Amino acid sequence: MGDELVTARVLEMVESVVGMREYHFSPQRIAAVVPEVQRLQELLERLRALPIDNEFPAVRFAHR
Amino acid sequence: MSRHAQSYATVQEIAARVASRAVSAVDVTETALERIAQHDQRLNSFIRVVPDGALEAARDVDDAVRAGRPVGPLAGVPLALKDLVDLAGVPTTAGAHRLFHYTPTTDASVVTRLRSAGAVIVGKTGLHEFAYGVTNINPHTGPVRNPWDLARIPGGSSGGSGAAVAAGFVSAALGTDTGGSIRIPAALCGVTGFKPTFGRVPVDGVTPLSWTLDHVGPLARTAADAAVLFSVLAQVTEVLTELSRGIAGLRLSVPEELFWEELDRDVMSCCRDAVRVLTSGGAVQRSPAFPHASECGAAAAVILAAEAAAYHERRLREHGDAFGEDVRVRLDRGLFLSAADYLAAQRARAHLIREATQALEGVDILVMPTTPAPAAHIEGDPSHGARASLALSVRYTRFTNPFNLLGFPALSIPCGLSRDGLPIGLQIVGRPFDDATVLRVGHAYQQLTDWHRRQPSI
Repeated sequence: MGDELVTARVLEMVESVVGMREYHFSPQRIAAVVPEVQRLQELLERLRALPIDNEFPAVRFAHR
Repeated sequence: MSRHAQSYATVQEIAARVASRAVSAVDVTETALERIAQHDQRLNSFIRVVPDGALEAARDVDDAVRAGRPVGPLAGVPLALKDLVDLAGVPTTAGAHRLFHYTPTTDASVVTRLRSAGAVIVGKTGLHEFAYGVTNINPHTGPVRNPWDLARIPGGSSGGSGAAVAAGFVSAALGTDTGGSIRIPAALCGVTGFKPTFGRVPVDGVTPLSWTLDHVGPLARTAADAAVLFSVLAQVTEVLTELSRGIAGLRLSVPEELFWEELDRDVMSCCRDAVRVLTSGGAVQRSPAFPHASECGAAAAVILAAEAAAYHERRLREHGDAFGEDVRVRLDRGLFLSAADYLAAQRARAHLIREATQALEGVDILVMPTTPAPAAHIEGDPSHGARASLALSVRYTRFTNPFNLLGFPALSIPCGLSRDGLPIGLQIVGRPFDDATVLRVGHAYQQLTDWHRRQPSI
């Protein structure tokens, strides 16, 4: 998928969440946050490529 | 001991001198307060100094010494707290807009433990707003400046604590570390910083950034001092008995992939030299794979964004304009992660912890640079500020945030100076709950080198 298409998709998602949750975001704030949201989505894509289908989402961190 | 020497004395030296009545805690405290008054206008490392409370605590220590009562391992030692740690009766600002300040009525657990050990709290240090960034360029308090070069950042977010220790204002300070915020300022300010194993030091009474990733720990002059502070903060003693065991036979790994890539030339050279020092001291180099190291940083970034946005959501809705621009963008982005996104990152964390723990069974410590470069310049242009701040966070946390995700103990120690005279840090990482070995390796390195004794001229 081309970069512009990805950015447009992220922008659409951001605008939709802003509307649904009634956040007050100016156009400048939306422009500032879109690259960051896109970066997080790219990171998530990498995480979903890990073998995590059977993982429980909590770690008991204790002295063995 | 001269006043200058006293300002740069270690925690252990000061506590021993106070306990033996070679110097009074009041004298030590007055020296610290005078030095702060004289020099901190240029550094801006303190948000608030508490001279009355400090002198009262020092008098209590002196009274106990005179009466022959036990005084603890931090007797009369001047310490500072990052200003997101609660100190009863003193506002906690978190480096944020005044709308968000509050005055706690009780101490954080870590403060109670420090005071019980005889520490004298002299004040609260500057930080990146809500601890969410590495530059310590703060629109509410002004920037904290690096004592080695006032035109540069101290690193963050515990930059005030790093600068205050480096400048000789205090012997040690508390910091918090969610993506590297103890180790990065330690590296950039030329001091020793320790992030303990996740969960070993209590975080109640400390403003959260990410419940999964937050750690509290010390910045100090030496690994030995960090061990003393850790023993007090975590209420463990074995770390002190193991400190001087040496490193002969310890298995050391230098994970080339990710952690030794895209480095500043001076950082590469100093850290390579440091590895040679450790192997000359008897450590044995091994090279096991550290799989998916970069995914550790990815999972940490997603979890941090989601948890920070959750913690601050009400403030964002009600007072969004009260945040600095860079922190606002960081917080805003987390609002667009779904619950499924967040849980994918938490499931990745579970997988990565198990994988890394198994992969590192054949080694005792990992060694790598703390940061890929020495301290960056403080940029003056506010429009450039938010973008630069975001980019610097990604760059400077690359080697540190994987160990917030994994929860492994990690220490940064000074290991050289760049050609511009800026400090460089070496990161030593251990297996979970093996904090003692990490501190022991740092101590052994500091017995063989003198980088931790270098001082900036302020």
